[in-house]
Amino acid sequence: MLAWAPLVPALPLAAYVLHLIFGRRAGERTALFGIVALALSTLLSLAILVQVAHGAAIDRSVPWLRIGGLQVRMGFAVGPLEAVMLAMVSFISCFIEVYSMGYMHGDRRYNRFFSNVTLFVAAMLTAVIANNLLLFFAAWEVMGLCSYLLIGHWFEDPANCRAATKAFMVTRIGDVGLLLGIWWAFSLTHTFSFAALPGALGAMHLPAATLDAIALLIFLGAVGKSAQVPLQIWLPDAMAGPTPISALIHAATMVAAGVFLVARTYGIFLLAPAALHWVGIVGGISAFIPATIACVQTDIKKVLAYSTISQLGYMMLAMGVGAFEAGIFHLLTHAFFKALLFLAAGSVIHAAGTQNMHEMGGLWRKLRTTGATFVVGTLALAAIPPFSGFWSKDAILRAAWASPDRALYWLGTIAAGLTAYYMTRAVVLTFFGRPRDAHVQEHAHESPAVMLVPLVVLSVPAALLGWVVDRPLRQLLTPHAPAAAAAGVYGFLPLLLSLAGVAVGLALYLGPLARREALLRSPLVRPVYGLCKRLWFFDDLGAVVMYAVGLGPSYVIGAFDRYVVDGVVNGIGWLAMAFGRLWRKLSTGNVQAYMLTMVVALAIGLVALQAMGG
Amino acid sequence: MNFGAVWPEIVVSGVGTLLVALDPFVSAARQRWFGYVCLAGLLLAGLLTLGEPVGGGSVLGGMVTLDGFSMLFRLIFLAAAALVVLLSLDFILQRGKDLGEFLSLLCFATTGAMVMAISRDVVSLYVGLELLSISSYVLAAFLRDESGSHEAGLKYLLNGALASAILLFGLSLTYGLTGQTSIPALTHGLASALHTGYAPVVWLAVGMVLAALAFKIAAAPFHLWAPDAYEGAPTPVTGYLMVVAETAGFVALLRIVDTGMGPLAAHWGPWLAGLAIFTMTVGNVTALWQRNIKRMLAYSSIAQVGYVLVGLAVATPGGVSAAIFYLVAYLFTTLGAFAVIAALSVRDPGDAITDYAGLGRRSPALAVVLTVCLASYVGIPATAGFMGKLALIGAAVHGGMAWLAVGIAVNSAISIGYYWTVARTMWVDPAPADGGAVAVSPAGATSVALTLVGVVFLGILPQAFFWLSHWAGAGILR
Repeated sequence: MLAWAPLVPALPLAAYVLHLIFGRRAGERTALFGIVALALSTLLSLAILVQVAHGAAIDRSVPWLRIGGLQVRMGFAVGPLEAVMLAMVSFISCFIEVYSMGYMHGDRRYNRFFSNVTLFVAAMLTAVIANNLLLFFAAWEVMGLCSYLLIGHWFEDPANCRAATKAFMVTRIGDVGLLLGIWWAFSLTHTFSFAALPGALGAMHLPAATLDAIALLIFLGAVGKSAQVPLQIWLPDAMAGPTPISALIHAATMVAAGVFLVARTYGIFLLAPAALHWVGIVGGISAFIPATIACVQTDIKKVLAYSTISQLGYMMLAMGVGAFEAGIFHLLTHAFFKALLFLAAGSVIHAAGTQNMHEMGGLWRKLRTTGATFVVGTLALAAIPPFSGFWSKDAILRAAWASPDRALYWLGTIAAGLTAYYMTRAVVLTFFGRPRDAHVQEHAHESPAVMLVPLVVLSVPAALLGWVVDRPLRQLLTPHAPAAAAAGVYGFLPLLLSLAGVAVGLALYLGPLARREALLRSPLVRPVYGLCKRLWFFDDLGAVVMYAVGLGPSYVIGAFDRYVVDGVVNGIGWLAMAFGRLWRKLSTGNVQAYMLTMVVALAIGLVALQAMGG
Repeated sequence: MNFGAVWPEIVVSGVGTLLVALDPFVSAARQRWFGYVCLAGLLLAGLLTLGEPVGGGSVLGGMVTLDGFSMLFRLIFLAAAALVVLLSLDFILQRGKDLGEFLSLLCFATTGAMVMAISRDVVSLYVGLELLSISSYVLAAFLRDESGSHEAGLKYLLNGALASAILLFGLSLTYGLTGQTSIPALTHGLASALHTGYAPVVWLAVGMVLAALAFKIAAAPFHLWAPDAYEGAPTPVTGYLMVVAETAGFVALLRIVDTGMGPLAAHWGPWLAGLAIFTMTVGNVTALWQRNIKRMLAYSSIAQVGYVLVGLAVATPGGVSAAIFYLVAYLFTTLGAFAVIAALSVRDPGDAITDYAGLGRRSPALAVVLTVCLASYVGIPATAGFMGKLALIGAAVHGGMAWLAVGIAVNSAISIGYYWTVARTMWVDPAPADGGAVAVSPAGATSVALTLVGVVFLGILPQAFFWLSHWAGAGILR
């Protein structure tokens, strides 16, 4: 069965081709191509998971090309990590496509949407089973392209185009780092293989700085893709895409690919302890800062977006403190409950016609199913036992307590309290209290069954998965790891803070508006509120950097993305253009001038040759 | 004399002669079948080439050699010519021009390029080069009543004549130094001349040959003629000049400089390296500013020449085979782009990049192919250009010139800027109100499809071509 693993990505790829050929004629039935393919992929990957759980594994490759004495091989590998990812990605994407049938009903570019989603899933699954960095990188780039296309799906609104371009540009910064890291490692070891790289690098007795640099370059790619600080600025804007895309690509799968990359190359990070520590630091900061920002957002999708960055930060934090299996555990539980939350939010938006939570309120009466599933997702995200988020977050913070850098534990623990607070706030503002907008309340109606069924299906793993797979997953990923260290009272602190967060959220937002306004006026809260509202100045910083590095001249000529695609090009681009202007002046169209230039160049060359050669 | 070795050249030039003889008897509107005759001739020549024994020995009094290099490059030229015939049929017929005259010139130019590929003597190589060049001057000026085409032909002629004169001067110096015109004999003769007190003359000869060939391949700063000529020439001719004329220039460089002047590699290597970096940078940064797609691709081709020069500059067998591989990748990529441009300009002569607005909706197939070609120019994985750059970067690192590899990487980052502009214009900008779907003839569609297959095949399964270019380049550096 394992030898059939390439079929898991091949099925959606085939569906993509069918979309291209028959999509236009099929009308809205086109969605079935992708859904059937993904259902088959899900069954196959579950079968694979069962076999892997019984100890099977595979790593197959064929010689692909030879460059000067070097042989590069192409192939796939499935072990515990890959099997878990395959099952998660194909399962969630299948249900998100079902949900999209309802959500995208009547869209002008229905087929384009489904074909891009299906291509994305094929690329993600390819990245998961790739056994070498080259294939992984190619799939990773296709994922980025699909993300770009889908964020800009409604490209009639220039704001959506800007968001898509921003996402593409910012993640490219990370990709350049990743590519450099891959090349560096390859030039040293002559292999792209995930399995062989750590051993080959370890055997070379390289200076620690080299190993750290390679690991950090690879991590830079993960920082871009997983929207970690300081490259997190693209993800909130990416919410401009249709909500199923936010659920699939920008919550459950693609953004988690950065964490997966760190996990897949974990052997390299183990050789570079300093780099690994930085992974933890970036993760801790990314868990904390976006959590504070999420507390002051008014757009329901933005709350979830900042929460995604924060949860991805937890996963990176886990990687950084050596708790590889806890990070993957959280990746898994998060994928389910965050996809659920986004889809439920999509159902709310579908019903209310607005994303602003201050215009909602009291929707519980109209949207019972949506509301119930949203609350399940919230309890999972807020890490309230026995919902799934509790188990994985608990594992991460216990590991952080046991690690040398306890500051990471405190960042994660405080962020846990904030998470419970902002999610409670979102639930109360959306579903409870008095309706604040009569029009919205009147307009609201529960979504069709095609959207509700995926919600109900996803809420089962969101509720139970953590408790069920806690022990088996740890057994599968790290069979010989020692049991988690007892953290005493500090093990319970995150839970206490989470409960406190829920309590504070309920007290503030079920209470009268005047009390919240009074709180905001207090000199203690006001500056903090301002800082969070201003996104900790990260977007301003990003704008300044972009401007300084090269966008300035481009704004002047009024062609923002005409000459500029990614941040790295910006810097070189400005110099390049000045140089180009000079050359254009020399190319006057005058034949005599051309000949003169040629003869002068020849004369200079000859004199120099005589001087140097003779 | 044994003429068996040059049957392919005889066939191609024979077809050219036949077509020019038939031309007066068939009215311009009824000449479409000339194209199929020409394709049949090129196919026959290709089969004859494949049927020839590859021994590496010399034939026709030592003027010609049949090694892997000559075999591969003959096939490259024949394939490029066939693709250009396909993509030019409708372009020429639609304008009411004599197809027979056009195709015969194309055949003569291709014969010249093929003669260069098989030459092992500077005299036959020079004759081939002149046959190619003179036919090309006329081809560039083929649309006589369009001032751009006129201007292109004249500029190409004047600059080309100067470069030919310089090349001939340099070659006559090598003859004076060694008493030889045979390329293998030059290899030894120049090295010994260096130690007999004639060093200044050796450097004069090397410098003149390098400069003249740098002109032929349009390497900066000898490239100034190229954008004007490429912009003004009829679109299919531009594709032909970029691929066949430039590749033929590289054939001359590989034969005369790499083989004939091989022992002096330590001296000319750094010069070629400097030329490579300068050329790719000038090409890319100037391309950022272009608004005409042909002119933009002209600068882009200059940048590509810079990349190929890296393979020559490192002067290692790996470098030579990487350069040859890149030339094949460049052939498919460039002709793919020009197949699309020619298909679009059959009826609609607009060459401004803004004319491509909304092409993604007007003609998704053409837009996809052009996008793939642009991706190949940038070096995105799964395209021929990616594999070519991979090979060149590998050769530069192995040849101890890692800074050239960095140059390629930085330059391809710069180049995203202008290729992206075209892709964005096609896919994002709205189509003009009067822009309907684009009709493509079967011949044009065939050329588009063949080049697309080439670009993707080389990008995914490059092994066969890696092997071929290694085999063809094996005898170049001794």
